[in-house]
Amino acid sequence: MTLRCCDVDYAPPGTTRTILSGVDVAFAPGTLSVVTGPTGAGKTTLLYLLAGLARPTRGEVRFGGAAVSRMTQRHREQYRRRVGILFQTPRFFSGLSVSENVALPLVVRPEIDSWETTVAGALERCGCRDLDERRPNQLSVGQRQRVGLARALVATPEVLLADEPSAHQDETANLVARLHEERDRGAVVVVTSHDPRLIDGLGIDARFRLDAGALEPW
Amino acid sequence: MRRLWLTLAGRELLVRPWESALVGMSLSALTAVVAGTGLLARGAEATARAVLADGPDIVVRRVAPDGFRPVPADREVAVTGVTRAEARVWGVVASVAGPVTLVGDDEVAPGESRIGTGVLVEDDTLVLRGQVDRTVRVTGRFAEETALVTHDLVSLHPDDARALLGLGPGEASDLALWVHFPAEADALLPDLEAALPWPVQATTRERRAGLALAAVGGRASFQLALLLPALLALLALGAGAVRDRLGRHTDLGLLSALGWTRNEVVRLQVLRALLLVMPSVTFGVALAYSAVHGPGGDLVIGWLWPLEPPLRAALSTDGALVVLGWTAAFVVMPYVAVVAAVAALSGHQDPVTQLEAP
Repeated sequence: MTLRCCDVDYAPPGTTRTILSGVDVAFAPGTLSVVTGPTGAGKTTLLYLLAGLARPTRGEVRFGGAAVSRMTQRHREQYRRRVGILFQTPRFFSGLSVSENVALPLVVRPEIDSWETTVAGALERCGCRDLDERRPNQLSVGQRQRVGLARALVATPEVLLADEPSAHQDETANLVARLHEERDRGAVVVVTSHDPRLIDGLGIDARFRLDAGALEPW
Repeated sequence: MRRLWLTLAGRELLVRPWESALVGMSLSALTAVVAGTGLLARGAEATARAVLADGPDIVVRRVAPDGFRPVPADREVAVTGVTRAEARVWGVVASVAGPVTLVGDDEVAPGESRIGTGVLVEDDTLVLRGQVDRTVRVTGRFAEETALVTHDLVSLHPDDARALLGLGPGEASDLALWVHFPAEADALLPDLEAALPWPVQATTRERRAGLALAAVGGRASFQLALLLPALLALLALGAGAVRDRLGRHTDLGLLSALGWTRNEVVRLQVLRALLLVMPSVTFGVALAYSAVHGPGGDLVIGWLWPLEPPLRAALSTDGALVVLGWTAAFVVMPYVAVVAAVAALSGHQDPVTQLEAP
C-alpha cells in the first residue's frame, strides 16, 4: 500500500512554529526513497508523521485508502504495528539486554511463536549477533544504530522508516543490503539522510529534498 | 512470550532496585500494620464471643441500695423457660502480688487452689486476703492457652471462697441461669424479677457480650486511628508511582513507537506493579499473622495489656482469613489502580510528545 502525505502542515502542539508546510508526497510499496536536507529542516518530523507518532495540523497522512492522521487511537495503534522505525539516536530500555530490546515489537504479537529465533535472525542480518547479551549502555553509538535497525526490522514491517541510519557507521554496505532487502520484499522504505556515502550507493527509487519545511523532488 | 512479559516487567523494577525495595518494604509495613490491628480486633472479639457462648444465658444478682448482696445458694427459680439454675461463688480478693479473681469450684479440695498464669506464688503457696486471711496450696494451673480468661483467676473449694469473700454457709454471689430459648432470654427478665423476693439485676448473654465487645472495641479502636495514616501512606506511594511514570514518558512513547497499544502499556505497568505489590503484601500479611497469632503475639499483647507476668496471646483465629483478604485488597487494589490509571492517562498523548519529553 502507498504511504502518502496530502498537503501536510505540521507545528508542534502548543506552538505556531510551522516545521512542515504543504508537504505532498507519495511513497509506493517496493520503493526506497531518500529525504535529504539540512539539519533542522523537518526530516525527523516527517518520519514521525509517516509513523503515526504525530498528527499533522493540516492535511493528512494516508496509508492505502485510510487516513492515518484521522484514525481513532485504536486504529492508529494498529497502524503503528505495521511500521518499523529506526531513530537517529536509538533509545533502549536500559534494564533489558540487546536481544530483549529487539524483541519489544514482538512481545505484543502473540502470533509469533519463537521470539528468540526471530530476534537472533534480525541481529544476525544487521551484523550484531554477538551483542545480544549486552546491555544498551555497553554499546557504542554505531552499535546502537545497528541494534536499532534490527529492532525496526524484526517484525517484518510494511513500512520501514530510518532516520539518518548511517550517521555513526564506518561502513554502509550492510545497511544498504538490509534496506534493499526490505524494499525487495515489498515494503515502503523511507530514509532520511544527508550522508553522501549512503545516498550515492543506495540505488534510490525516489529522492526528495526538504528545506524550510517544504519538500521537493531532487 | 509470557516469559518475556514477565522479564520486561521484572527488569523494569530492577532498573531502580533500591527504589523498588523501599516501595516494597513500605507496602509490607503498611500491610502489616493494617492487618495486624484488624487481626487483633477480630481475634479479641471472636475470643470474647467464644467465652461468653460457654457461659449462662442469664446472670442474676441481688441488689441493695449500697451494692450487691449474697443470694441463697439453694434458691429455686420457678420461672417457665428456665431450665437450670446454678449458684456461683466468686469475687475479688487481694493476694501478695495484687488483686485476683476468686471462684468457688467443687472440684478443688479444701486448702488447695488452681491458678492462672498471672497469679504470682512462692513455693506453691498462695496467701489470700479477703474478709479473712487464708493460705492455700497451689495444686493446679490453668492452661496458658486460656490466659485471656484465666490470667488472674484463683479457683478454690467453695467453702474457702465463701470465707474469703465474707459469704455465709449456703450463700452465693449470683445465680447463673440457662433457658430453653436463649434468643428470647430478654422476655424472661420481668418474670424473673417478679419471681424473686428481693430486687435483682438480671443480665442476659447478649448484654454481657455487648459490654465485653465494647471493652474490646475500646482497646482496638486505635485500628481506626491507624487507617487514616495508612490510607495517606498508600496515597503517597501511589503518588510516587505517578511521579515515576510521568518521569518516564520517553519509555512509554518508545513502546508506542514500537507498536504497543495503550492497553498493552497499561498491562505492562500493572504487571510490574503486581510483581512488586504481591510479594510485599504477602510478606506483610505473614508478618501480621505471626505478630498476632504466632510467636510475635506475646509481644503485641504485652504491649497492649502490660501485665506482670505477661498475658499469653491465645486469640481465636476465627475470621482471620477474611481480615487478611480484606487487608490485601485494601493495599493491592488502590496501588494497582493508581498505576493503571496513570499509564492509561499518559497514553492519550501523541507518542511524539512523550518521545520528546525532557
